[in-house]
Amino acid sequence: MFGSKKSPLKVAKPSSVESWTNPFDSNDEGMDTKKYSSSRKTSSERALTTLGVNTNPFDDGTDANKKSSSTLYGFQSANWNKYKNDFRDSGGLENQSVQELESYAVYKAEETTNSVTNCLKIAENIREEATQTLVTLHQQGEQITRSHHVAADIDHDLTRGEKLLGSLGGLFSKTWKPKKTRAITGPVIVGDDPVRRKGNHLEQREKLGLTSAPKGQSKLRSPPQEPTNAFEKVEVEKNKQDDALSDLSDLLGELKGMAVDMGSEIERHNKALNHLYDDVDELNFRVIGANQRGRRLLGK
Amino acid sequence: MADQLSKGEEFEKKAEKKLSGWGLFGSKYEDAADLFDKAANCFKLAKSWDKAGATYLKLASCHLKLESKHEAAQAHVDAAHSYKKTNINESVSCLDQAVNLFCDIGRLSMAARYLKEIAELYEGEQNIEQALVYYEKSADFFQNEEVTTSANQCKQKVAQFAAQLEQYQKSIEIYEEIARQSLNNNLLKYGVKGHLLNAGICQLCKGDVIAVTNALERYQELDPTFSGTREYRFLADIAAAIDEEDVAKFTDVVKEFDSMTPLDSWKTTLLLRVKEKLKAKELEEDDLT
Repeated sequence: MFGSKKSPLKVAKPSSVESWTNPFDSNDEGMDTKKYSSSRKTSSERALTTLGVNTNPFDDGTDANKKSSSTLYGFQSANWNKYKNDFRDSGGLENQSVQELESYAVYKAEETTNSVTNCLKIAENIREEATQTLVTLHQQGEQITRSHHVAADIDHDLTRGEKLLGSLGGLFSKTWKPKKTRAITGPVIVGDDPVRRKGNHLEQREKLGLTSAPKGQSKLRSPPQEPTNAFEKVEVEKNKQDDALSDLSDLLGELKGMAVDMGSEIERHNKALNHLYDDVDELNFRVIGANQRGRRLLGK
Repeated sequence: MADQLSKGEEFEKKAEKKLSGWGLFGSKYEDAADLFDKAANCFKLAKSWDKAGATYLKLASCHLKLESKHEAAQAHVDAAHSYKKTNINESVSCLDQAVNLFCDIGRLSMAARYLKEIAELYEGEQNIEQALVYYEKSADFFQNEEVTTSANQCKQKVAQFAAQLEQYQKSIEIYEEIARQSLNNNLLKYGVKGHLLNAGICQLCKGDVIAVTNALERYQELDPTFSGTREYRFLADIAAAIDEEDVAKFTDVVKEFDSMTPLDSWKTTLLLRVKEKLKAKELEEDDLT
């Protein structure tokens, strides 16, 4: 919806892969591959980049002239290639000027920030999906319980039917009693059943000081001043990474909780389905018996 | 195809003949019903949906004569499904009759299911007002039958459409109620912040910054973990931007949030409304100065 988003997985490639070069490749071949890869852009991408199309409905076009963070730090695409292969083409890390190395440090810091942000995006997507899965599991649990209630109702009706079938025989016929192997139990709530456990658990956690509420507030701090030198830029990136990693940590903790809840709910479903299976099996046995009795009565 | 059509017409003629003739103890209605059913199936195979629908309605009237309300209701449903391909209004009318019959025989869960289907038909036709009415009825029926997840799904639809129709208070109440219910359930508690975010966006649409701030405090009391979430920060930052009447800040906050979790079309629509109001306010201020 908002601009042409690429898959977060494709954005930040690990530097180890990028930096590896084939020792048997000649330089001009390497140039060729770069040429091809750049022309491999889709027509829509090319159009967007050349026209500078703005697809975000919340953009006023006011910041169209703003430079991206990478251009703010004075990176040209030519330099990027240098950084990507760790200055292999220009004499290695040892032969670079201090300024060049500072720029390289900023580039690497930015790259790391992007990677962490992409991880966070992926984790957010997983969380969204997991939330939906949990809702579906809850619905499934309800359906199992409802099905079991229906089985119990069928048992009730079948009992009445069996009584009628028993009283339908002739005057001298032997009284018929339905065979029952076990009683129909109906839906059983298994074990502790944490899902339906009510209580002010969250308030108790808050009183204990276990909630993550204060941490969130820290992120509402005023934005830092525009960094001037490379060291400050790296520090800014580090702070961004810290924030993102903190969020990622929280998200992963939540995902763990979700996975545990999914597991325990599925276990509950399995037990509930076992009970349901036993009851339906018993009902089936009794229906067969009732049918036999009915056929015998009709045959007389 | 034509073969099935002629077969269907033949069955229909036979059924009509049965109905106009004599029969013992209502057996003519049973025979006619059987023939109408066969005719309707043939029309369906011939893809003659209108004829199939009309035949199912005749079948329903036969079942009603035989006092079989359940079968009559099911025939109305079949008629609705046939008409769905060609005539939505007729389809809705048939489902409505089916719902009434299911209510008569106490099959409320079936009634709820078909009320939801009517709502979905209206939604498909972009008739939001009617969709809202029927989703509301459906939610009510599901709630009575204690099918809470289905009830909540319908309620969420009601809230969504209510917000689109600028009935923000109604929408807020529904989202807050769902959030409150979800907190008590280990499986649903993870969706709470999503519901509170939706409620918060509706609060923003009302344009009262104080109400938004109060709501955020209330949500914090409701769910102590909410204040640490990106959703809370998003709502708080937007409220601040509205308070400062800063459109640029508003845009930045929305863009930042969207970069992490893309906003769906519903949220986008509502946030654009908020932005338009904010722009209008800003222009007003400029005019005054």
